Amino acid sequence: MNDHDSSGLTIVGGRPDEERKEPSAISAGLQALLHRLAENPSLARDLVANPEGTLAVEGLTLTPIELAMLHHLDVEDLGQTRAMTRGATRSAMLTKGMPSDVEEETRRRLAAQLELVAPFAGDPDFYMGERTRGIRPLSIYPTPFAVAEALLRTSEDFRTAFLADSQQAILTWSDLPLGDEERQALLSESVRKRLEQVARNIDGLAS
Amino acid sequence: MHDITLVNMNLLYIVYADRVDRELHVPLGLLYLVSVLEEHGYRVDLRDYQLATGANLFDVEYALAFLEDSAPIVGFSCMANLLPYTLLVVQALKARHPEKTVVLGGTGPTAVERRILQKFDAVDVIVRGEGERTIVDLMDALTAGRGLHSVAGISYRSNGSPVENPPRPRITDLDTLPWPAYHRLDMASYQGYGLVTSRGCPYRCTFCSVAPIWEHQAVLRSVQSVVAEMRHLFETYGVTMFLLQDEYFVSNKVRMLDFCSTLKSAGLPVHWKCFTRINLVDEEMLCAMADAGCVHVRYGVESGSDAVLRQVAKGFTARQASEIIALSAQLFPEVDAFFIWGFPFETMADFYKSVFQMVLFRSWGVRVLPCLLSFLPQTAIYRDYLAGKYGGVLRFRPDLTPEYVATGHETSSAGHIAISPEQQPLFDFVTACPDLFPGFLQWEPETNVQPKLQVLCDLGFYSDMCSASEIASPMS
Repeated sequence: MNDHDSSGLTIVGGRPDEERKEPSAISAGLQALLHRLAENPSLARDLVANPEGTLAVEGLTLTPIELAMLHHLDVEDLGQTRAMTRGATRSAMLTKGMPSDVEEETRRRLAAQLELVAPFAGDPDFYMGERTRGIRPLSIYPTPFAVAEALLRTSEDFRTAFLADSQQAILTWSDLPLGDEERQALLSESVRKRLEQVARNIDGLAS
Repeated sequence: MHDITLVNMNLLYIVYADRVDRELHVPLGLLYLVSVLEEHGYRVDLRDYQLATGANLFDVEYALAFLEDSAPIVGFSCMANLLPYTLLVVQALKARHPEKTVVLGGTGPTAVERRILQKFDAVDVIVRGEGERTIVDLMDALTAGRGLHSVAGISYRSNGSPVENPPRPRITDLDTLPWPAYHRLDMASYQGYGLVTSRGCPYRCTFCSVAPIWEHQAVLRSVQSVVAEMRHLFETYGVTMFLLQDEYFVSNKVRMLDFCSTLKSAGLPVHWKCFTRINLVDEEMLCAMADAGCVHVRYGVESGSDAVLRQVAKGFTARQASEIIALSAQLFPEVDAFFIWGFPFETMADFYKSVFQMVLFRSWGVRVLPCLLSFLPQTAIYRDYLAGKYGGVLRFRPDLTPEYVATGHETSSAGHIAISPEQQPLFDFVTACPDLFPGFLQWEPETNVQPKLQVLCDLGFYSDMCSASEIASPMS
């Protein structure tokens, strides 16, 4: 088996994407504008009605080509910035509070879980299992989505199953027939620390 | 002594200004043919041009050396990007070995079979569509010295004129096909391990060159068969990352959930990547896919303009695309969004809507892949062009073509194609035969391609290949 799995390359069509993951030549003004549009839907209407004036009020500067683009967009186009916000509603609830009808204990437990998961969201290596020898990381630890899903459910059965799955995943990892040296080699330092942290916290939650 | 040599000419060979990237993928199409031929007792010599290591793969003499001692019947499989080079190689091969029978297959010759047979005496037979049944019939006929009139699914030359036999009925039960002949490869030499889970796509996107080949009819393998093949590849070759590249892998919710459930139950420690479709997935499916080991999803978004999406019959809206892309970006470590730009009916306003989506998606961590429209001969959009629907003209301007494909997949060098002396015949060939290679041509390059490419470059797309000043002047 080749060490490469083409994960850094294309499948068919497109280019190797290392450069493409780098920030593009988008101005800081446009990046800030995208964020503000995501948080404030009414800004889209103002921008369409009066792009230059609204940008001035917001204290943002776009490049000429970005401004040209803005002149061709309507409220519906600009409203797409909200898609990520809507999709991230569950994640946001982890940090910004949950619906009032979710019981306090559930909130406490699941907020702790969410806090655990947060670092994983930005760690492709962990997700990809590059260093976990094919052990599916999504089994080792639930995705942010799965954790967030748990937030929305008050069922005790669901929470119990959720915790049991997490514990089983840790056990699976621990039971791998690997020598210590090999195990260490497979785990990056950061991943190892996170797994240890996960194990500690799951123990704490279950106790 | 072999009965037939099969040559894979499908390459991912990407030339940049400062480097070449290659990515070796298991040549599934030919491996299927090898399997059925071996089942019927034929001795197959399999040669994969991906494994060629010469300094200039696109020198015909080098290819001839690669084909040294090939069998009396030589079959080439290629896509449209390598069709020009493959034809040059075939001509040289036939000139040196006029006794050999040359067969072409794959998507490259599709829809230009007659023109190829009219222009190139070196090509004897072209296999159209699925090859598994056809290749066996063809070999039976050739080795028995029979005429080819009874072999369905081929075009050939008879008395100097092209003859098109009736099409062969589609294979309706893909589970009955033997698995690809993986045993014929050194699997460790490859980086991409694909898997065929279906053939065909029912959608009618006007730019698509694949669905028409299958006449817009999809045939699906059973989930059990797919997972069994994954298990075989994992247990036999240690494959842990699968590329499910079918256009219609994610065909419906029930099947997708069944696949995810079956794969999870199989307990294979594997991951997979797949193409999917904005309007065919929902939150439940995407969650199930992530949970079943999917780590990379790819979408053909194509345009951020609803007007363009309607024109190309894509079947979803820009708003739907952004909702699904946002959700996917939260669930999967890797998400790709392909865009096509340069449609004849794409106004600058339409184009800017696409650019806005590209910028937005990239800000979400999605890999954005803009691709210049290619007028491939089997597409509806090319037929519409020929019918005069768009006006304008297609012309060959390699200096403006960021997706240039003559030598593998694409070539770029600081905004201009660097044509080496060895490659010059290839470029001359494309220029001389625009009716054979329309996929290389651009619609109204000065007014349609150039200003749009400028915007993409200014916003950091194609940043490695062009700058504002370099786009302006046509290549001499």
